[in-house]
Amino acid sequence: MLRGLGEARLAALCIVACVAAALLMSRSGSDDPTTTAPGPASNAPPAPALEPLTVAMLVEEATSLCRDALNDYEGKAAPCVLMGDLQEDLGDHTEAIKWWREGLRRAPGRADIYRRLARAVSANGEYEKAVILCRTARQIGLPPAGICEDMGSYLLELGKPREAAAALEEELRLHPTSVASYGLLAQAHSQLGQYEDAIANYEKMLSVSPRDKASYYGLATAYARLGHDDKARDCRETFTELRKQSDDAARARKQAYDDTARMREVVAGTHTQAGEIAHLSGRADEAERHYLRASLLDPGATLCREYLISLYIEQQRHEDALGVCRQLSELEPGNPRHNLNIGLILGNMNRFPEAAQALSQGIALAPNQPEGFSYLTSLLMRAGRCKEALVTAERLVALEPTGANYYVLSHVYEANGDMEGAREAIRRAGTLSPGEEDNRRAQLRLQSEATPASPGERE
Amino acid sequence: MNHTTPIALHRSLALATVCLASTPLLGAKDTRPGAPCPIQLLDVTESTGVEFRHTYGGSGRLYVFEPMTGGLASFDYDGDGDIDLYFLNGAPLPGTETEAVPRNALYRNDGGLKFTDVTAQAAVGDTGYGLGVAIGDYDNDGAPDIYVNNHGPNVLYHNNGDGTFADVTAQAGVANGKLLGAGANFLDADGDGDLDLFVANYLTFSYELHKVRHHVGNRMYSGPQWYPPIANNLFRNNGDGTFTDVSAASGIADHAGAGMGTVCADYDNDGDTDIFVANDGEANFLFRNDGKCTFSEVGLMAGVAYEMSGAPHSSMGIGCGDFDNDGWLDFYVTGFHGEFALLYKNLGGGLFEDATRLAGAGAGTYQRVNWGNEFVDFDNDGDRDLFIACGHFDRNLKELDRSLDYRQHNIMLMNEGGARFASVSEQCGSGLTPRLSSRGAAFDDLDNDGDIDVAVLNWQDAPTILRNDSARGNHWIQIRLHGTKTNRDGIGARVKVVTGALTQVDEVHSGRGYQSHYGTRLHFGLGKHDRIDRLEVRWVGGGVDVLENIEVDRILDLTEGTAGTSQ
Repeated sequence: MLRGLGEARLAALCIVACVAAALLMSRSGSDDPTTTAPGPASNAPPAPALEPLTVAMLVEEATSLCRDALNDYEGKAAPCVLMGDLQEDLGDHTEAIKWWREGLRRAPGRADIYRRLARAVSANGEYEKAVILCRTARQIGLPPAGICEDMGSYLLELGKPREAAAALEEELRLHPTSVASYGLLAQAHSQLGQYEDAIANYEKMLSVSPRDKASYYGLATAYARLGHDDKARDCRETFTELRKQSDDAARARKQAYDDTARMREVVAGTHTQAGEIAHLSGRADEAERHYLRASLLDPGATLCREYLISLYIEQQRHEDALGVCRQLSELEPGNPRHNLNIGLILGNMNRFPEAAQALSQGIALAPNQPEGFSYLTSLLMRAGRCKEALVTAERLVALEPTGANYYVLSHVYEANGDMEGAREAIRRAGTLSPGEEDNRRAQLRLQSEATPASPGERE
Repeated sequence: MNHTTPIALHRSLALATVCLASTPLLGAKDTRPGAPCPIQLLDVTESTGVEFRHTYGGSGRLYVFEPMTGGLASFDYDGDGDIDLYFLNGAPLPGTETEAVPRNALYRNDGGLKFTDVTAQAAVGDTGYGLGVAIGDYDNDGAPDIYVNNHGPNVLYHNNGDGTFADVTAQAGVANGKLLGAGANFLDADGDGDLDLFVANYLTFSYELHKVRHHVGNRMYSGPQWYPPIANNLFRNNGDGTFTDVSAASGIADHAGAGMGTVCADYDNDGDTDIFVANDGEANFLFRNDGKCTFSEVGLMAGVAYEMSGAPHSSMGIGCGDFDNDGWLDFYVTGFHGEFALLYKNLGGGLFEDATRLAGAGAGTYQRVNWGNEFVDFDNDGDRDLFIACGHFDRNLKELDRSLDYRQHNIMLMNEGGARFASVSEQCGSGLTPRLSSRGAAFDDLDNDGDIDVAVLNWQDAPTILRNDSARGNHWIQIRLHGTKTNRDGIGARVKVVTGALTQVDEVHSGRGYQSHYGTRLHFGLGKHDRIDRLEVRWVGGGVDVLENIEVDRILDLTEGTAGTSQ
């Protein structure tokens, strides 16, 4: 039965996939050992109400917390990166580069710091230096997502479209979700006069990002070069409309710009990053203080709240985690991930009807995404609602026919007494994921249960 | 590459022609750092007698247009054969107290790069807030007139022909209200033989709308996006000293933007004069002329509205010239810090492409704010180089980053041939060493020695006069056009110079670069060619004059209809 065969693994994976994804996308990376351990409920005082703050006060707060981090984590690269990121946000590129370089001196294997340096020098138009930094980062193991994409964009600015195309193709090979690379690759092809290839890549970009103005502009140019005037005109019209909407929005943003509000966002980001450092160093109370302060400074911030959820789950503080999830759901009502997280947490608290409702709400927001069906299937199985689980499991494999999902389907069939279905599903799982030991063992078990005993054995 | 379509085929032929035509006669140029550079500019400002000092008139209130002043003009106001200089000045703004009233200034060229301030005698010391200037003989009396585009009422100075001018703005009807001006141009928009007037406007400004931007607690200038866009104006010359506003009838008024630099040129080689307007932070306008003073805005379709990825550019000044000698005029548009200046290569067929990166034409521009610029053959080798005037305006930049300064070096990009540029800013002499906040730049042979010198207006400072001391040995010609049936200055006329395998084209423009005027006398560098095989002049609204087998290394006066003609 599913419960005995991996429920804990699945449940843990579900939580990690959703709420801990933010930690995996952390800006800071890590050169520090992760020593997190669940601990007792925090005794930290509640965050104070936000006092009136000037820009100068906010800058001082952020600078001060960076200096504290440099003292508290002496010799580590992370606080250097923290200070460098703050200086960059304050517009002092020179100081930012100085701190990032110090971080690199302390942790030469930090590819993300090379990326920061590359972006900083590219902001000064020094694209050749930026390319060298990216190439150095690539030599440090598998390049993280974005390094080759950045390099490709710098090579385009240097007027080297062939080299740019090679870098972007590598990015897409290593990280197929780096969709911005399609747009840049299209520009490279366009610069080389390869307009049909340009069109193909712009179309790919639009398939993921249907309102990408640059792609419509690029398509209009490519079609015009090929003499397809009608298509060029259609693309120009779409581009014009999108451009106008974007320009109007940018104009409104600029006119509504509030320097103090922006500084609060910057300082909230610094607190979030400082919280990450503390979190990964096992200093849970300190991390919580930073995340709460960030939430207070920037009521619209989501990253600090996601990290806070992760922290509370590690500490088994499910009610606290639930409260923050609900805040995120109010901030981003259209984001299904928050409903799914609410459902997962409620499921862990054995509040099944509420959990099922939350997961269903998440599915309703993204009916073609498999995650919701995966989590709901798991929940229904835990609640013993096997017939309902069969519906969701079948929908899951229809959306995402992977070995792991067929494994789940197999267990659901088995729970419903459909052994033929179970065997067929596990067979499919084994075909799709041939190296998976769980699949192999399950397949063997199901086959042995189907094989009748020999005459000797019956006696 | 797909070569099956007419447009693609045309382009490939154009590229092939470029490869043949632009092969430098001297072979590949060595642009390595430290290598001797054939282009040399010497800062001779102190010896010229020019004592003009620009003011922006600000008091710390940071009005959005304060950084935008201003342009300058180089032209022969007294017809004595050498090029004079006219500098625009700002004026005291609300909150500013001043003892002396700042004025525009006219400096007469006395020869040998010595100048005398004749502002008072000439009566051209306008006290308005000067932004743009254009020169043109609007009444065809043989003396070039001045139009100043101000923040506030504009001014038209009629050249009396005796060293003095008269303010005829009211009679002419071209004050243009109290708008915030930018570039200006004279052009024969309808081909009737007299000069019409295009007036660009920057944005809809009033002191009530004024806003200051804050960044990390620092007060800084706001940008055009804080204000409503505004349309430009076109005035048709009635032929009797007056003008009629035809902005609406011509289609010009249908398009609102944030106009800055402008140039009027025949980009599509169809014989009439079109208009290119650089819009700051918005789509640039390319107004295509139907020959009868009706304009269609085709910037997006032509590929000059935006930069390569469809993003708007903080367009400031426009250079116009055929950098690759393929017979089509190209544009070079300067911009803000954090973006490249853009090279729009004319492909023919009404299309351009952003060739900045492939040509290396953005070198050094990303780190600076760029303003006046032009394609000029500084070393007379037969291809056009690029000079770019640079300078930021937020004087508190150091509060953000100690390494930044609002004063910046100007840039020289040498044309290497083969449609490529290389930065030689550090190798071309003392002229590029000053760190100032430069704005308009003018390019003319100020000492009549056969190469092009540079005059730069610097914000809140004295101007810079650069004498061209480039290596000798290459031949040249300068052509001064005199229209008879068409406008007297030959504005809009297209000149083609053929020397062996090298064919060069240029046009006379009124108003160009960054809100400035220069180059009424056309200049061609000829490399080692010691004779011109064929010279054609196509007069706008007129016929074609042809000369053959022409001596070089001189200023050639060419009057309409006196050479061998063809229709």
